[in-house]
Amino acid sequence: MKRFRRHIVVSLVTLGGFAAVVGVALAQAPSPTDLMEEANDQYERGEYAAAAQQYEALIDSGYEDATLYYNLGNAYFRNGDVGRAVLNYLRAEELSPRDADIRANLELARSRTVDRVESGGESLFASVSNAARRWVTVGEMGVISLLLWAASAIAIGTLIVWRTIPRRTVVWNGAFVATAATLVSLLLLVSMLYANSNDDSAVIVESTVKVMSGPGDQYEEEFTLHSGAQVRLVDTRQGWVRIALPGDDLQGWAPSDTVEALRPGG
Amino acid sequence: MAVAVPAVHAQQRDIDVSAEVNKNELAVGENLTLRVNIDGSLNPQQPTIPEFDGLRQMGPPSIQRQTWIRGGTSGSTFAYLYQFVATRVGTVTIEPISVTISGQTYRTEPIKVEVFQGLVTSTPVPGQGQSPEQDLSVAGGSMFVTASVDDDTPYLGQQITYTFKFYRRSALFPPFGRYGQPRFAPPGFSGFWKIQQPDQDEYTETIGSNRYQVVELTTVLFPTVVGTLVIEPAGLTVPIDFFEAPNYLEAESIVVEVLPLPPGAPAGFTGAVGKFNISADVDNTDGKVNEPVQLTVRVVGEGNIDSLPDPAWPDFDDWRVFESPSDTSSRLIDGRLVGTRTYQSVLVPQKAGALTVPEIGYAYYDPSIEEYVEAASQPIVMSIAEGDGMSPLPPLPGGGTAVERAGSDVRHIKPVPSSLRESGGGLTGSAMYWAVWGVPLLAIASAVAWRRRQTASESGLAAARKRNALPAARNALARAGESGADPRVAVADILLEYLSARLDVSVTGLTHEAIDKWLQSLGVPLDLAVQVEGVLGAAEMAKYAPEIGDSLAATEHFDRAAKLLNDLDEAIDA
Repeated sequence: MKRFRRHIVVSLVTLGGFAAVVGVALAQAPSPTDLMEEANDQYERGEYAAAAQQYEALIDSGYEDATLYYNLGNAYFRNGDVGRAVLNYLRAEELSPRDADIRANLELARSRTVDRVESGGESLFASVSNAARRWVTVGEMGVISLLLWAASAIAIGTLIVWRTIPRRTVVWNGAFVATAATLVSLLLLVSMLYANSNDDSAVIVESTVKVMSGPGDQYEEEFTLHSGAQVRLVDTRQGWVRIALPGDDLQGWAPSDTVEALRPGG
Repeated sequence: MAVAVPAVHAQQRDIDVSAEVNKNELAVGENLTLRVNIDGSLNPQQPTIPEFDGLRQMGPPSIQRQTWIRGGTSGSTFAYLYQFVATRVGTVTIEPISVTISGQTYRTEPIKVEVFQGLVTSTPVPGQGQSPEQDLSVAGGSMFVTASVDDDTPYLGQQITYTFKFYRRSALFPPFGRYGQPRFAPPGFSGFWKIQQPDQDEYTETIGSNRYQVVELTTVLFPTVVGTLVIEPAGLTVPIDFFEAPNYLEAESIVVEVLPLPPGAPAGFTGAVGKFNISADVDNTDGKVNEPVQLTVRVVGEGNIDSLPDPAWPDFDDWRVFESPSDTSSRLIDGRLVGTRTYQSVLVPQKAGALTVPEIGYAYYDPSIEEYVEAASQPIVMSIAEGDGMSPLPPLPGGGTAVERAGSDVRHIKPVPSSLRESGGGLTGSAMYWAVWGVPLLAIASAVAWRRRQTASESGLAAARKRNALPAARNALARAGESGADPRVAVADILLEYLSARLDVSVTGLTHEAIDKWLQSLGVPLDLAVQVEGVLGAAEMAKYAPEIGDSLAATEHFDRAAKLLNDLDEAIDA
């Protein structure tokens, strides 16, 4: 029994010591905001490549924030990498679509790209969804639709419970409008979720990319794209990706390290 | 035909099949024309030609058709003309040739031809040909073709020139083109990058005592693989006149031994073979930060310009570089392919000061001196002043590009937010969010359920009140005497309570007019309704004019009321 107690005491002391070490280590580890502060300082000092690396490290460790992507886009832009600047401004815009700074910098970065890529060839569904995405995030649309649904439910419930409510017609009209708005917002939300899950947008991140007719250098060159051109990913095969320009008139294969998907892992 | 030879016939009914040759004696290498005539059939099959020992067939036959009318009937004669070349000395037998017409097979008689050695003169052809020429001339030399390359042991990627010449005695033949142009069938040039020279050279050449008209076709070749390559024979079909089948001349194949490039290639060597020079130039050596400058790099020289590898570009520190596809121009000068490959890039200086466009190296192998050579452009020093903001890039050469003007620099970075959101599915990605959507639905469902229960409950209470209306009224009448109140008022109150319960309306809503309407609608007899009015009126009299006396005793009021309630109950139920 004594021996057993001694074992318990030793185990508890060991566990306590381990917890203390972990606690100290965690207390000393810089927080994500500290790391971003450090990256901002590097940017201010003109160390754009180092700042970009630091921002990328934060993103790789699982953080995503419109400000983080925006600052990363700035670091790449200052470092002369227009392609990755466009890519990260687009990611920032998706998280904060009404941010005027993001829009301005994205527009500026796009003006520094070489290729003029005309948009088009979208279905009505995709057009509506993309228009909505330019103004609200999916999360915001989720909250809006839920609030509208709650308002509809309150109005409908009131009409059911309180049959002799004063100004019943007004309440009835309110319930109708709220329910209709709920349906429209739900449709938009679903379309945005669908568009997000099927988003195959990508950006050329090399200064010049020869797009070939097949997945290999032995094929014929179809056309050339430059850093910052926005394309669509169609297929992937052994280090090559099949890309298409809007409208799908121009398609071809490019080395996979020359193109980066807008959605990481996409 | 140059020599008249009796035809050998195979005749049956009106169909006649015969074969003939244009000569019975010829030299090795000389052409022989075999003519197979089919007379009397409108749609014969092509004759089956066996292989003849000592003769080599040259290409497919030409076909002639002639329609005739004899004694009132018409028919056709078909002639198939085959070209052969004699390949050995001795007697050569042209075996019977089969033709099947309407299921019947016709055979020609065999023909014997004597082939001699000595009658042919082999005319030496001047020039640099390493390949043996084929002489198809008869005594005195009429026409022949040659094929040659200027170097049959080139290095990989080194230019060689393939030359095909057609010699023809100008005195013996009409000018070219009178009976149609000769048709040249070039070899495949497998293993070579080829550039066919579009123009042909025509000149005269005297060989011995004979004057020849010469047509020369050249093809520039660059070997793309190391090892032994064979250039297949080139052929030429030459029309002679309207009556004879065209001659088919064929040059011999040529063997080329392609050597690998020697070891010791410099670091920047990317496979260029030939003689090249590289130069770089900018459109302006004075600039500003962020103000674009156009850099033009030219690789000029002799070699396979069209598939020339790009230079090994150096690092352009302090510059942003926008490249564009290269342009190539090449042409043949004295049989050598020379040209220029031009690269145009836009450079954007990133800082002020004296910036240098570094030298651009270009390493190549020069087969003429059998050495690797490292050429390089001169570095360009530029003076870059501080810029006044971002200026637009000019449109790049090559077309299709447009850059909009931006008036300002990028907006500054944002401060660090109070917290960074961890990436994930977001609000709509959580199951909890979609579960919350059910809460309003549950609320509506609860309201509906409550309303139903409420309705059911209300209707149950009303029914109970209705059932208990008469007993409750009787009980109240029985206790009415104990209270000491005016019996008229007590009876009226009991009657109103009864009607309220029975009609499921509030007592306050039971005015005289309302009671009349209710009783009428329920079909209560008028006398009962009058009695009810009387009871209510008596109660009002007792309330508002108590000084007027009551003619009835209290018990009588109660008894009359009990009877009235019974009659009313029965009438309403009825």
